[in-house]
Amino acid sequence: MYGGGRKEGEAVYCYHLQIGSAVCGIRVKSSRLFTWCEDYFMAPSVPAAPDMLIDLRLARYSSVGMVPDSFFQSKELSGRTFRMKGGLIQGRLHSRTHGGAMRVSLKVHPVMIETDVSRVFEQCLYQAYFSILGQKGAYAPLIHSSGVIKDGKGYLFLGPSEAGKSTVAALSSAYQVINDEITIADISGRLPMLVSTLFNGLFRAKHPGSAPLAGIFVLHKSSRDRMELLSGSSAVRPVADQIIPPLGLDAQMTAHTYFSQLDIAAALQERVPVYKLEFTKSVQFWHTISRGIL
Amino acid sequence: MRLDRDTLIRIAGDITERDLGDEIIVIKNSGSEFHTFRDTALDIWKKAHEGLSAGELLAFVMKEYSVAEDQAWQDLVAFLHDLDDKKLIRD
Repeated sequence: MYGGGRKEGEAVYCYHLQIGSAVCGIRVKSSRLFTWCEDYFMAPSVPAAPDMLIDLRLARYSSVGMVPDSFFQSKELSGRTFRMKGGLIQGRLHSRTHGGAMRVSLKVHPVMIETDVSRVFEQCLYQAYFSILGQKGAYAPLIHSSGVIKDGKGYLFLGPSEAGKSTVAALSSAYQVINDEITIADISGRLPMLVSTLFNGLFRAKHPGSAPLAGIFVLHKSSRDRMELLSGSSAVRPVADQIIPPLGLDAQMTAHTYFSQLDIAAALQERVPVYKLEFTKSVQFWHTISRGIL
Repeated sequence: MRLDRDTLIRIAGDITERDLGDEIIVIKNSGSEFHTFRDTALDIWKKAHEGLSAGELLAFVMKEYSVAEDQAWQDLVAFLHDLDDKKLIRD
């Protein structure tokens, strides 16, 4: 049951998705969906036991409304039952565990799996991750960012959409690009670590890995390459803005959620330098970083 | 809010704030908007936590920023009315 992989005899397939220290077991009754998971996340199921089992099934609806940008803001809660954007995703976080794993029933409209909006579906998995973290008490936020490992050190690049995260990834192919969309900054241990995720951005040639986090860079496209150490709100706010709201499946977004993001950003900034990085569309920015950090 | 120099300025009870050093972010517990204070606004907001009167806040502004009394009062009243509109203070 917990080994992951195909289970032809039982006609149940379980894809184990590693997200940092958490493992989500996505159980499906169709080999096609299992293959979709492997193809979408571009990785085989991991052999680790899952912290959460998600029973995923597709549901047919007569009509579909607009797919929302955010499943955080469109979520309706009733106890442990959740419904996102008019039922595109519906589910329940069960109170009883299964073999030590949390259990979730999830009914998903096919549009979330079979079209280009699958990345929005990932937000449901972010919330699954935070449900697991809530149980483990880990402190490893998901950050909307690009992550690159160079010479054994982790570099995290963030900024709003179009700031240049994917450009940085594309210009860093000489190094280990772990993701250009979602990475983890794990500050639960002695050393702050940059950790990859399998979530998808535009840069598909990602190479999973982790490394001690050397710096966080707030991107600004510019006609020059320059970096500057940030402090106070100049450092905390842009990082907080890119932290994925740390909400589990059974939690609702409120104005206070942003304070959680600020608190995480402040904790990060205490342990990892945050820089403003003005960069041109050339690899020159790596020289700027090397000079600036030394 | 009626404002004169004797008016006691008290921070509303249903707010939460985060001090980022050079900026404070404030939200109403019942709301979804947040407000940020920097520079002069930040100093006055912090001082207002001491439960001072508008007149005492005026003296603080005049001393800290070397501003003439009329100008300081005009600016302070505008700021306090703004806070009142956002229900971040009560008298």
